[in-house]
Amino acid sequence: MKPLYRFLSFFLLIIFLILLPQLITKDYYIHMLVMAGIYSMLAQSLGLIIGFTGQVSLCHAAFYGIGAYISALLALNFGLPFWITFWFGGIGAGVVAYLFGCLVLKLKGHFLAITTALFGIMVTLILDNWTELTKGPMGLPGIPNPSPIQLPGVKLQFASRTEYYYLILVFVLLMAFVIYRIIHSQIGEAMIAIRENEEVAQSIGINTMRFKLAAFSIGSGFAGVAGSFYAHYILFISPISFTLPESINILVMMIFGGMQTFVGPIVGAITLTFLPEFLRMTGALRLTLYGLALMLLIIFLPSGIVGAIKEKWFSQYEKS
Amino acid sequence: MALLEIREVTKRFGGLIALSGFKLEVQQGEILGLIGPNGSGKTTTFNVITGFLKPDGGKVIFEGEDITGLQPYAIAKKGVIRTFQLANLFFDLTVLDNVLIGFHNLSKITMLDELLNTRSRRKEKKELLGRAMEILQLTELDSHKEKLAKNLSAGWRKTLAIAVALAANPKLLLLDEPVCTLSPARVASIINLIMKVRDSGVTVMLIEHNMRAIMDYCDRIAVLNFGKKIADGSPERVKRNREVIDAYLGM
Ligand SMILES: Nc1ncnc2c1ncn2[C@@H]1O[C@H](COP(=O)(O)OP(=O)(O)OP(=O)(O)O)[C@@H](O)[C@H]1O
Ligand SMILES: [Mg+2]
Repeated sequence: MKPLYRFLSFFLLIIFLILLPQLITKDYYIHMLVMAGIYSMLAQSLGLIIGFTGQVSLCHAAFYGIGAYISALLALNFGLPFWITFWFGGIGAGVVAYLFGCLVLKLKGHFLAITTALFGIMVTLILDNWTELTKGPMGLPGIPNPSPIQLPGVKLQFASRTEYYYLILVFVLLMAFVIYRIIHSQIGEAMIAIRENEEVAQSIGINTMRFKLAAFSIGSGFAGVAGSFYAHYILFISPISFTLPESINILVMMIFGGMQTFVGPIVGAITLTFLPEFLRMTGALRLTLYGLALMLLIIFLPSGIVGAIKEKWFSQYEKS
Repeated sequence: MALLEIREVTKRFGGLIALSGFKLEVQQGEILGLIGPNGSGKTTTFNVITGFLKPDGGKVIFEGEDITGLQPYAIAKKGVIRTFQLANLFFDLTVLDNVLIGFHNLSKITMLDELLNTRSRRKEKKELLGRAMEILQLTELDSHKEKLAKNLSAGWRKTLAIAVALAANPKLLLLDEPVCTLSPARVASIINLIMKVRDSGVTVMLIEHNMRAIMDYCDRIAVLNFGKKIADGSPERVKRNREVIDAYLGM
């Protein structure tokens, strides 16, 4: 009975997500949905690194940026379409993360946090100063849309935001599927073991460095894919979109939703993409209220929204 | 050939010599007690054997192979599994999950099986769950299996640490003070468990600083004092050793 129930609710959710653009009249809200999709990718991939493996990374936006720049440069200089560049964006970010991870994943806690933050700052500096390649703070304009694709029955032109919405939906679902399978596998088990107690993990034969590297490169790789999508959606990128505050923004989304849960980071990403919009009616106080809401939530629900719901459910189940 | 051979191992911490020229052989199938006063270097010995510390001199040979300086996980993979003195566990996970993670190296399924959730993956999951239940029964932890490890009493935590180590399929099991701070009833039950484990073919080396607690159950005892081995032999002989008596009276 239970798997059927789960399958049904999943099915209904998909139907809802497919119909969603029809229910929304304002183009701007569709844009918000696309951004929520990008942030879902970013927050959930960061959840694999921090929430499940316990390795604090404060440079997620840097890998998002690396993916975006690789994609944009390949598209602008070699005329490659998005369908090819996003692979390079993702794999490129993953490879950089792997190499950087080999150096720093021996570090723990604060040291790792500070080092990754510095790496993020360094990436921003490179993007800002390697002007022959990146055009520096001026950014890269004129990135092409994804080339049209013919699906059975429909042709996607990527001229409207709704088409982008469906594309990011597919990306989020594919990534979520891969991450779901990872965290429910032995690999995920080893990652959780490392988060819980690295010493014990080693003592029973878990190659902790290998799994930390896997989490870091896979998570950062997905951030790179999100970056490619962003570049081919906004059609203009500049270093300012990939700075430390953006890393913190993704981090907050992940914590807000519940970093040790599978869906939490996605819930956090969607909520926090829309929350500032809803607070718009409060006028000048908007960002102050936003900050206050976040602080209160992190103080009172340290395991995030989804984490808190799960805990509540679990404690009821234990009592019975 | 000895299962494990510690050859002239020396370990310094700054000016402090924690182990000096320590030599010891562990034979297949025995229960070897490593005893000594506080700070005599017992835990350091375990840390050197399992790769958590690199020795400053000397070698560790397991099954004829030099394992000195290998990473802890690599040594564990060869079948040398240790517990920690302060019952180190995955505290926020359930007792059952702690044991299941212990099986990490036993799995034969591949990444592709995992991603596709194939039948062989599901079959293996079921098998491992069955084996976990066996271990929980053997260690009398079955009634606690849904509890979080952090909610266990100190005694049961020590037992769980042994259960996790057993899951990791040891050839040589290193137990750091497995019965210290336990109630007498639990001590009897843990000693019983250790004997069973030995009878199933696992060699056991255990640390204790209370000599009397383990005297009768060890096949052999080695005594450390200030990082030096001062005695090594049958419990009866060690008990009567002048130097050992002095070391313990001097405590
Ligand atoms: N990582 C370390 N850094 C510095 N000194 C250490 C370290 N580990 C152990 N020591 C020192 O080495 C000596 C031997 O310590 P060890 O933990 O091996 O003793 P032990 O025999 O296990 O004692 P106990 O019965 O108290 O557990 C002690 O003086 C201890 O303070
Ligand atoms: Mg000790």
